[in-house]
Amino acid sequence: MMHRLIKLEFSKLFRRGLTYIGFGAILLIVLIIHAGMYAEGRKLLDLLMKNLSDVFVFQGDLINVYTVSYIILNSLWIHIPILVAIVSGDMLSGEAGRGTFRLLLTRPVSRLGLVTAKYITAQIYTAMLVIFLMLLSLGVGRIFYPTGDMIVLINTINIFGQTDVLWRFLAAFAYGIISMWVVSGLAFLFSGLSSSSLSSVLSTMAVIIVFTIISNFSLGIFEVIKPFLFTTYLNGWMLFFDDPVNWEKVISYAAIMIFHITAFFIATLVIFRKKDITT
Amino acid sequence: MMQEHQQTVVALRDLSKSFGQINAVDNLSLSVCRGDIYGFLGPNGSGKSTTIRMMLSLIRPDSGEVLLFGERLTDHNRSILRKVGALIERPDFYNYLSAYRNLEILAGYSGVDADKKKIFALLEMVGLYGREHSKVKTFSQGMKQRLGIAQALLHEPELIILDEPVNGLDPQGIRDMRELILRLNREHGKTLIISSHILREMELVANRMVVISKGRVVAEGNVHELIKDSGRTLNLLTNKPEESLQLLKKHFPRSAVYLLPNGELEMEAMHIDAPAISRLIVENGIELHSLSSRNSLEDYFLQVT
Repeated sequence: MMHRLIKLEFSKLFRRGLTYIGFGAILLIVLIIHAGMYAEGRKLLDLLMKNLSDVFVFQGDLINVYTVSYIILNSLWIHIPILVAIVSGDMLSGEAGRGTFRLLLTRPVSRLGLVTAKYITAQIYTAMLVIFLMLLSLGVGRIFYPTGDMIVLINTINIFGQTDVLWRFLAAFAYGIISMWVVSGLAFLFSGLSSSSLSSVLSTMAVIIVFTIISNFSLGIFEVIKPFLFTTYLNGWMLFFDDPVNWEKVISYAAIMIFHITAFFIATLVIFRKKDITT
Repeated sequence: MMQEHQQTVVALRDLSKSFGQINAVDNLSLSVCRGDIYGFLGPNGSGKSTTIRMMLSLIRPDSGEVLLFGERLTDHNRSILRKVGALIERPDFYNYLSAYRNLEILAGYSGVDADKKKIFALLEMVGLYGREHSKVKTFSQGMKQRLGIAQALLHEPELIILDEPVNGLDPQGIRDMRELILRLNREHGKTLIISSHILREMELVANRMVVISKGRVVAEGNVHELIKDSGRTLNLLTNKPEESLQLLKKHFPRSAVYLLPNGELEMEAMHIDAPAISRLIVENGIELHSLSSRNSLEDYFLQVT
């Protein structure tokens, strides 16, 4: 039955224009970055690497698919939560707003089954968005750029040989999927509370913005709160560009994320099972 | 078809629901038998839709219970809903999908494989044949209402619950809907619960009904008995209104008779035959220009709500 419900949810999801906004936006942004880097990237990188190239010998072209993908990764994690929230925030509130819950819940479908199917669908869609981003960054990027060593500046300078980079990207994108599942889970929770998709999306973004600001402050009171905010862990994909990778940290971050994904689902379920369908 | 089997299909027991300070449904009990066309009557805001939503577990009652086919409806026992088809209030659909696709998807949620032939047959039944591939957003309210009936019939339910089914329909549509309801009952043996505030429709289709007001049952029973109990009013127009008034008061002292400003006489005549009154008038040398009788649920409805 669950398989059938998920299939039905996908059938509805991919017949809506709204579903493709995320893919379209990612395509547009990635293409703009690719084009920009193709035209001006060398100048920019030469400026940044002026001193380093005297000390290090780099293999291959530094304007390569990995460098560009890293830039895309950094810039897009800001936009992807909005794109994820647009669809996940509509999963329940959209049905409530349209009045179609009356059609669904007067059929032999349990609320548990329906919410679970919708949650799984939202999370698969989220994963598809991130995978699409990965394919565009690495796959399409490979058409425009060669491979080569990659320089990462996080606190310190890390230089990765071209044979040591691809797995880091794959791991970063995998972590990115988990991060975005948290965002999607939060949007889904708000979706269960409201009959307006717009409210769900705006509430999700409001929480993410406020939490991110707190997560980035280094003041005393915020330092105490930080570990309890999921936004602190959203950028954990960067851990894969440390050398060596702090696996203990990666695992604990991922565990906290998975806890949030589960907690948001359970909270939605509890709320939705008690909810009166009055629209 | 009426009451061939007295098996109770729907039983509501002491159902109550409040929204804040407002008692939407107050200790409401009723039962619907197999084969009934059960009218659910009440003015706007009387609690009809809330009761129907509780019947289908869209709204959870504060107290009381709902039994469908003898079983309590819970989240773990929703298989009972396989036997129920419903159209609740407005017929809302996925507007970006075609009529056909909407029905196909909804059949999926019902756990049935609706093939093309079946969906087309249903669309033909409700008068939407030829529009199956049109997106629902292009449909009029009446067409959506028809599609709403089609979706309620998708999984061949035994019990069909229609909340205000003639809303938004034109006169021909109302007539078609009435015929469809009667056909579903008589030819296919379906039990139907129909809520409406259009009383005339209830008189024409329902065999049993309940009247609710402020969430409470104010009358329940056989439609014909309720009409009988509701009383009858006679209106007379004669050439001698004053004389006629005295005559009627003298011969029928237990019935109230009034002389209306337009010169017409109005008489409450629950147990008096119209022929007896016309005879009395004519035999007393008074010309009777017209005699009409009113006896409808509408009077009763206004009286009890």
